[in-house]
Parts: sequence; C-alpha cells; structure tokens
Amino acid sequence: MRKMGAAGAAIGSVTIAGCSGEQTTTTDGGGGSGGGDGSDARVVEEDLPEERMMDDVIHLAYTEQYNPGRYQANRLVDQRLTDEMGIPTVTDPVEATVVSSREQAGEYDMVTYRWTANNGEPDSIIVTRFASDGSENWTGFSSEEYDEIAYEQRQETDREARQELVRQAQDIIGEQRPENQFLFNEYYYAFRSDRFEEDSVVVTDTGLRNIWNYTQIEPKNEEGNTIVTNNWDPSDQLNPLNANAIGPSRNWVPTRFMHDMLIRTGPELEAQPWAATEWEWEDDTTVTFQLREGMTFHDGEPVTASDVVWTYQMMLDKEPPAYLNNVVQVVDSVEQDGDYTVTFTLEEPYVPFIKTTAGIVPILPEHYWTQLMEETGTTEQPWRISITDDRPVVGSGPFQWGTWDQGSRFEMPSFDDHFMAPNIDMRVQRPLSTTDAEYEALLNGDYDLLDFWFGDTEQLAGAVEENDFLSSVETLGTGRQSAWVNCQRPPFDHVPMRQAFNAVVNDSQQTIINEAFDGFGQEAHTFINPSLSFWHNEDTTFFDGGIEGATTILADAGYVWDSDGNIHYPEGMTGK
Amino acid sequence: MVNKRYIARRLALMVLSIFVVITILFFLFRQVPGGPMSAFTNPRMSQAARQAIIEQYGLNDPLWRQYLRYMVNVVQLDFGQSFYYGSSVSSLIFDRFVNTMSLMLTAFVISYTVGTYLGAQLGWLRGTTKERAGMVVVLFVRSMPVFWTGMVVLYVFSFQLGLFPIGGMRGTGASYTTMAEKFLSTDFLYHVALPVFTLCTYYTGLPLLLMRNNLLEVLSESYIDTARAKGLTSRRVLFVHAARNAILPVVTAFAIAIGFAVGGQVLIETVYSWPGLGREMVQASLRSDYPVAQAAFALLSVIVITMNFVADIAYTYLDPRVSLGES
Amino acid sequence: MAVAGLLIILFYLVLAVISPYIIPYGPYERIYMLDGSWASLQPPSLAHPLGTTDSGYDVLSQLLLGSRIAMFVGILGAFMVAVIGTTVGIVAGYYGGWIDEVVMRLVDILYGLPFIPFVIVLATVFGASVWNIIFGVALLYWLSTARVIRSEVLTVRERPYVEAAEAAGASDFRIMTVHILPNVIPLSALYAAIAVGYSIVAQASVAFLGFGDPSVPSWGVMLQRAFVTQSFGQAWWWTIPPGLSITLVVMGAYLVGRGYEEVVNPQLQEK
Repeated sequence: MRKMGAAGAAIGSVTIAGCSGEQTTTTDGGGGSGGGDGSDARVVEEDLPEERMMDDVIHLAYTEQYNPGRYQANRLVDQRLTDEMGIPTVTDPVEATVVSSREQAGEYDMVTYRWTANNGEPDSIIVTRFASDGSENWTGFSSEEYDEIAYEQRQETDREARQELVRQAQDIIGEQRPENQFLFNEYYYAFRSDRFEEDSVVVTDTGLRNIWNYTQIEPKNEEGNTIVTNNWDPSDQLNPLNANAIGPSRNWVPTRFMHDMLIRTGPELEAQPWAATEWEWEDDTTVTFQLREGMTFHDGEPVTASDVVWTYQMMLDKEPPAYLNNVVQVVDSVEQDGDYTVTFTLEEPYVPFIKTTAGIVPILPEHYWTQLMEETGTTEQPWRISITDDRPVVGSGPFQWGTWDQGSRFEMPSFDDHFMAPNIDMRVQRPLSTTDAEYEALLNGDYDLLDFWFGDTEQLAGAVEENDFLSSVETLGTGRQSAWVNCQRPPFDHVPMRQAFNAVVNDSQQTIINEAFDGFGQEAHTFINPSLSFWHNEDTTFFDGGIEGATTILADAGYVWDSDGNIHYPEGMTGK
Repeated sequence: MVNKRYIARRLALMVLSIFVVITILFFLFRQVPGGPMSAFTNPRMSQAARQAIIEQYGLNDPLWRQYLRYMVNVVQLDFGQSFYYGSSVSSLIFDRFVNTMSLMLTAFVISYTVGTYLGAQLGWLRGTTKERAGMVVVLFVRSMPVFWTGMVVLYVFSFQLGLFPIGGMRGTGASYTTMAEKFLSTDFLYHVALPVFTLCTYYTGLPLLLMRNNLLEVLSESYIDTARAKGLTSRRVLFVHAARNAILPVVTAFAIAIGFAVGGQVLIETVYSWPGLGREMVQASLRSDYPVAQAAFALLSVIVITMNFVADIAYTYLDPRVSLGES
Repeated sequence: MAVAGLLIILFYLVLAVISPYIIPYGPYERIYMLDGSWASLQPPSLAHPLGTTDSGYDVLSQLLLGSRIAMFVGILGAFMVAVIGTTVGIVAGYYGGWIDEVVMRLVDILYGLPFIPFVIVLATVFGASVWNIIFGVALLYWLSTARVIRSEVLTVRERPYVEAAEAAGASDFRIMTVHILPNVIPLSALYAAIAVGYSIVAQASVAFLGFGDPSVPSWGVMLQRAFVTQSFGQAWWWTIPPGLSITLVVMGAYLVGRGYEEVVNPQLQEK
C-alpha cells in the first residue's frame, strides 16, 4: 500500500509490509467496515406483509476480469448493504457492452463505472447526465428545480455567477443522490523511456492517450516510431455520429485522432485553436470561426467551410442522439462566408459552446459522407452505418485509418500532411486479454506504453522503480468513479433510499481506496473533480454516519425490518 | 449398391441433425429475457427508430415466419449482423473457425501419435509394475479438468519460468497478410505451444487407453502366437502384427473424439485467450450478442455432427467385419 | 485400485456432510490483518492452512464447502444418467421396431449437441445456476448409457426365461422391470459411476467459464476467481487444492467404476 499526499488522509497510510509472521484477525478489525448485524436505529416489526419485502437490488457491474479494483469495490458495498443493512443486493457482473446497453434500457438498480467528459466543462455533466432531457441521463433523475439551474448555468456569461450556479447544481445532486461517488481515482501510466524523449511526453487529464501526446512525443529510435499500446479494440462502433464512438475511450481515441474539430481542449483544459485558427463572439448568440487554410482530408480533398456547415446542418436535420444536447438543442443556424469563415447563430446564449460543441463535433467530409449514406441507404439515421475496413473513416485528423482486425488490432498510420503531423509513424491499439499479459508486454518491449492500467498499480509502480527503461506519470484526471442509481423504479425512486445508500458508500470509501485501488485515489462527494478547482464544490451535501446514519435515514422514512433483519418498505409502499 | 445406400442414409441423418440443432437453438434464443433484441433496442430510442429495427429484423411477424426466414438465411450461410461487432456474423465466425481448427488439429495429431505409441507400450508391458504405475499416471492425467491443467501449465511455464506468452495467438508486433504467413510463423508456434501441450494432456488419454485395451485383445488372439512361434522378435510382433490390428478402432475414435473435444476446446481457448470459436461463443453469450452466440454454437455442432459422420463412414471402410447393408 | 477409489469418494462424501460444521471461517468472510487492512493473497499459515484469496477469504473454508456442490452435482448427475439412460435403453431394446428407431435416431441427433457450449446457451437463456448443469447432464449424458443398455437388452430379451415370461402372458412392464432390469443394472451402475466424474467436471467447467452461480462457493467458482483476478500466477495455494480435489474425485469415481467392471466382467481382469 502507498501513502497518500494531502487528500489521502490519515487512515490511508496503513501498510501490509512485513506481514509474514503476523497473525490475522477476522471481521471485527475491519478497516472502516462498521459493526456487525445492523444498527440500533433499526425499527423491527413482526408479521410484516410479504408485499412490503424488498426485492433483490441489482448492481450492474463490470466483470472482475475487466477491472478487478472496481469489482472489489462493488462487492464490498453490496455485501455491506446485504449483511449490515438487510437490503438484498446482488452484484451482476456483465461484459462491458452489456453494461451500457442495460444501463440505457433502465435494466438495473445501480451501476458503477468511471466517467468524465474530458473537456473540463461542467456543462457536459450537469446537462448531459442529470437534466431531465440530458442525452446521457440514464438514471432518469428528474427535477424541475435542478433543470432550471442546469439550463441557467449554460447561459450565464458572468463567470462568477455561473460558478455559483454550477456549485448549486452539485449540491442538489448531492442532496438527491442519483450518483454516489466511490472515489476520485489517481491514475498511473507507464511508458518505455528508452524509446521516447521524456520531456516530449504530454500528460493530460486522460493520461497519455491524448492527441497532444501522440502528436508531440519524440521517438529516440526506430522502436519508438510505432507506438503499440493496450487500449481496447474499438470493437463496437467507430461511426463518429454514434454515441458509442465518442463515449467509451476505446472508441473516442480513434474518433478524436482521425478527425479534426474546430478547436481542441488543450493539456490545461483550455480551448486551443485547431481547425479554426481563431474565433470571435459577435454577441451572446453569434460566434464566427476562421478556418485554417490548406488542410486536406485523408483522401486528398480540401477541408473547407462547406464541410463544416454540412456536418452541423446534417446534425440539425437528422438529430443524432449523441449530439442532442450540444448541437441540436443549441445551434439555430450555421452559415459560411467564403471558403474559410463559418458563423454559428445559437438559439440562446450557450457559454460552453466553444469546448462542448466546437471542441467535440468532428468535421466530416461532405463528399464522402453523402456517398456513404447513399450507398448504404442509411440517409435518415447515418449513425447506424457500420464502419469497417471496406467503409473506413475518412477524416482530416493527425492519424488516419489503417487496418482494423476486429477484436484484436487497430492500426492508425500518421497523416503526414497534417498541420500537427505526429513524429511517430503509427499508433496500434492491440489489447491483450489479461492484465498480466499486458504487464509482460510492457516489460519485454512489445508495448511502448500503457494507455490505461486496470491491474495491480503497486505491481506496475514496482516495475517502473526497478527498471531504468520505464517511466511513469500520474494524474488525478477529471473523472470520478461512481454508482449511479435507477431513479425510475423501486427502491431508488425513493430519495431516502438513495441517501442511505450514499451513507454506506461514504463509509466504505477509505476501504475502497486502500484495498481495491491500492491507495491510488481520494475521497469523493461530488461529480466534479477537485482538479477542476474553479467548479468543484467541496461543500456538496453528502450523507455520513455509516450504517447507523443510513439506518436512521431509512427508519425516519418509515422503513422497517423483520426479525430476520430483512428490510421492508414503509407502509403504503410495495416496491412493485 | 448397399454401400451407397448406407452412406445416403447416414448423410440424411447428418442433415437432419444439423437441422434439428439449429431449430432448437432458434427457439431457445427466443426465450432470452426481454427477447433476442433486448440488448439492441433501448427505451430512449425514438418510436420510429425502434419500429425500424423491429421491422428490419421482422420481430412483429408470427414466430413461424421468423423461423422460416432464419432457416432460409442460414442455408445461405447468412447468420445476420453481430450486435457487438456490427459486422456480418459469417465472416467473423469463419475467421474464428480457422483459429480453432489450427489449434485443435495440431493437438490432435500429436496426441494420437503419442497416445497410440504409449498405449502400445503399456499394453506390451501388461501385468508389470511399470504398467500399473503407468496406468495410475494416465488415469490421473485424464481426470484433471483441462482448464485447471491449463492454469497450472501457465503458472509453471509462463509465470514462474517466463518461457512462453501468457495467452493470445500472436505477438503485439505481428501482423500478417496471408493465412500461410499467419500459421507458419515462429510467432504462431511460440503462442500455440502451451495450449497444444495442455490439450495433449487431455486428448492423449483416450487413444492411449484404447490402444492398450485393443492390443491386449489382439495379443490374446492365435495368430500372434503363430507369429511368435515363427521366431519373430517381440518388438516386431508388437509393431508389425499386433499394433497394426489394434490401431483400427483408434483411427475411428479419432473422429468421434473430435466431437467430444469441442467442449475442451472452449475451455482451453478461454484459459489461453485463443481467438477461436469457443471463446467467441463464451464472450458472445456474456455480451448478449445472440447472433454470434447462435452461429458459433451451430458451427461447433456442425463440427461434431460432421465428425461423427466421418467416423461412421470411415469405420465401415476400414473394418471389413462391419457389413454395410445393415445398421 | 477400486478400494483406493472408494476411499477417495468416501472421504469427499464425508467432507460434504460435515463441512458446514468444521469450516473455520465463512466462505465469504473477510479476513483482516492486525492493522485492519484486508488479508489479501496470504500464503498458507497456521491460521489459514491454505492461505487466503485476493479478496481476503479463507481458501480452506471455500474448499471444504465446495465439496458439497461437487458431491451434490456428481451424485444427482449420475442418478439422472443411470435412470434416464437405463429406461430409454430398456424401452428401445425391448420394443424394437419404430420405437427403437425413433429413440435411437434421437440419440444420434442429440450427439450433435456439444455439452459445454449447450450448457452455456442454457445459462444465457435461463440465467446461471447449478440446475442448468444438472439439466444439461440429464439431457445429454445418458446417450452412451442408453446405447449400451439397449444392445445389452437386445441379447437379454432373446434368453429363454424372457421368452417364457412372454409366453406366460406377463405384461411388458413386468418383463422389463422383473426380468430385464436386473440384468442391465450392473452396466448402468458402471456408467453412473463414471457419470459422477463427468458431472463434477462439467459443473466446474461451466462455473469456470463464468456461467455458474458465483454466490455458491464451488471448486469451479474458486478456480474461476483465481483465474479472472489473475492471482493464479502467484497464489498456487488458491489454484492447486480445488483442481486437485476435482481430479481426485473424478479418478476415484472412475476407479470404482472400473473395479466394478472387473468384478462383473472377469474377462477384463488382468492376469
């Protein structure tokens, strides 16, 4: 285990070192895991009607193989709910793609993963995740009071006033608890320092897999010219119009690397010129971009204002679900003036426009996409076109489509005609099926760097320390690992249940950080990471008091327990 | 000719079996909670979009019509689109099929060569302490669950000795353009070594025991004594006379065993992350990618059924004692 | 050898019965170090003779409890195989004709369903549980038994006393149960013994692939967790005991079956 700095707090510093001769003890000594069979706050009644008994609570989870730490954390929380709260909770581990589809279909009670918008823009969470009509509001959370603040903050041009609104939004979510943070992870990334100039490596909130790093990293030798990394195969979708191509990182990496956007979020989360060299707000709802001249798509055709206009206009017409909140709801019209000037008119002021719209929407080649849509006969829902080697992505980004051996390997050669042409020749996403295999591959030189690491962080850190040819970087990122609950069905359609759940999670945070994540993380109580210090609300409401506190919340709301310790709904509620 | 009639009959049974298996699968997968498309449609989808999908897959048609359409497609080797990969199931499955066969056949050839030889040796040594000890070892190895053997082999050769890769079929740097390049490279051999070794421990038992038992039977027959009486050396008797006769049932067992081996294949592919049919089926099931799971299972079944067929036919040709008319 | 086999089986049977009373810890009871951290992957020690798992659970306790599932599945599976295989075999063999034809073609067709993939389909469709495995065993493992019993019945029914009973007007049911069954019982017992092993391996394999019920500590689930957490690369104490137990039980069952075979079929006895 590893000692944490400032935020890690005191309890985080227990060590396992030199434990060979140590005798072990059982449950009672449990690190932060409260007491035995529930608290005194319980209200116990006899002869409770069957229909008030709580059904199994389904915790939709990633598999242990996918992310052992996350699975451990889930098991810990679920066991505590079951054993100490009498809430029958079942961990239901499924494959990654099933998690998203079941989450989107509302077939779960809680679901746990890590999520971040990667652009430092709170709007991408506040509206997208929790507004009633947020495009990724899978919890079904709905509150008029909240919606009002959520939409007000995106129009508030005064930075301080907007900060206040963003903090209020966090507090409402904190009080209502559709989301319950496990921790803010600290991420550890390793790379082969014998192959790259160390000071050319750029670390951002997403670690090493960011366009700045991949365009600037300087190989020292032939081996560094092709970067082979462990990012997942982009298996499910590479169609840039599909939500899956811009959501999960296995897919957004290729999407963002092969396309250009008007601007890009820089390493410090600031807006940086990209396809647009400059932009100017004419008033609160009109913004004009100047395009860079001389850019071409990978097939040699020039990138012009008409491609930009076509892309946005097509989104306004076809309404791809992935771009609902940041394009369809926001943009009123888009017009070109000559080949290199584009002007957007917004429906109403939308402050985060530069980052969340101009920084996310890929510029698509009109000539190629109209042809694709025609050939496949998919003119109404172009996000359904499946992208393969026969129908590859054609963009204008620093990397281009190479070959995709589905399920095992995706190659992107660099695009030499790009204004930010990479120093390397190619990037290869080549996942191995186990973390041990990936660890070995980094040590024996098959991998040049690890795009992410879900394995044992201590083990990796140990290897970096032992071997001169490895270096590492750490980052807190901008995300958080949380359990979202389904607010549209029992038991979590009832706010006290969510608050009680939050109390149990908070009580488990230290154990989660220390045991499941080897000490690499910080306690978390809100959805905005402290690395976004301007927006982060450190006074967000959360619930504590552990099992005792959780039980009190539930007892106050009328929940009762039978003599076997099973929780029952308050009178008048059945959970059906 | 009777011969032809038997083959025709057997062929008809094979086709019927495949047909029944695919039918069972079709109806089983309709029982999936939420329906076979549940993973593919979501409630936030607009009504029109959902309707489009339902129509595209004909989910509103009566079951028998869906079934007919499915069968017609299957006959044309069209298993639909993978929910997960978004590409055609057939091409995907074919690729996995080749990977599975490359591993399985390698292991089989080695197992049957080694197994037959060791079986003959053991049979020859009958009654000795060596034979008893050998039998205990054989029984023990044969009783080991193959996935566990795989884990132990990995523990020793990969984790402790670091001699072989932990899984997969190719190194990270390897990329190939042709099939031949893919399966004849040293990189492939390096990756295939441990899974083949593990499968061999699993497969060798059957030919070994069969060979031994057959040999015991053959050795008790009179012409062997005649051969001995002629003064032939014992080794020559073993290999020229006895073994040649004892090997026949082992040859036919080869084909039948391929059928049974499919289950072991699923496990070994999982342990070694081998991108074959079995692993694809396991993963497709876990991902709710039903078209792929369904097709992978169908193909595994076809392997089994075809092999049973080949075994029966081979048997009739190889063993003159089997009369072809009756069955 | 058969005695050794019997001893192994008896040993695990006894374990299965008494394990709930002798396990030192709950199967999913977290073990802590003195400083309050989890006792993850501790090598064997006095307090934990088989060490601990990744999540800090006691391996020995899980192993002991695992014998219950193994024995349950093994015996139930063997019973199913014997009952179904024998019934089908006797009926087909005794009646012959179209009944025989239909049944035997059904057997041929079912041979085309590979067992483990089939159970995966069952688990996908009906959810993971021990019952899918039992169901799979019941559906697919009786095939060889039925074939063998049927050919045995074909010879038995030609025997004079069966023909005598027929002539005396005994009902088909009576002839099958009273005159034929006793002759084939040794054979079905042999197949049942072997099916014990098959069923246990089947259960472990399916659990290993992730289609078992993870809340029930079985040997297959133990191995699965050692595998998916990648701990088997270091924690031999977690991997070896369940695998070895499966091997021993399977071998024991086989030895018992083989010993039995030698008793009833002296031809096979080694000189």
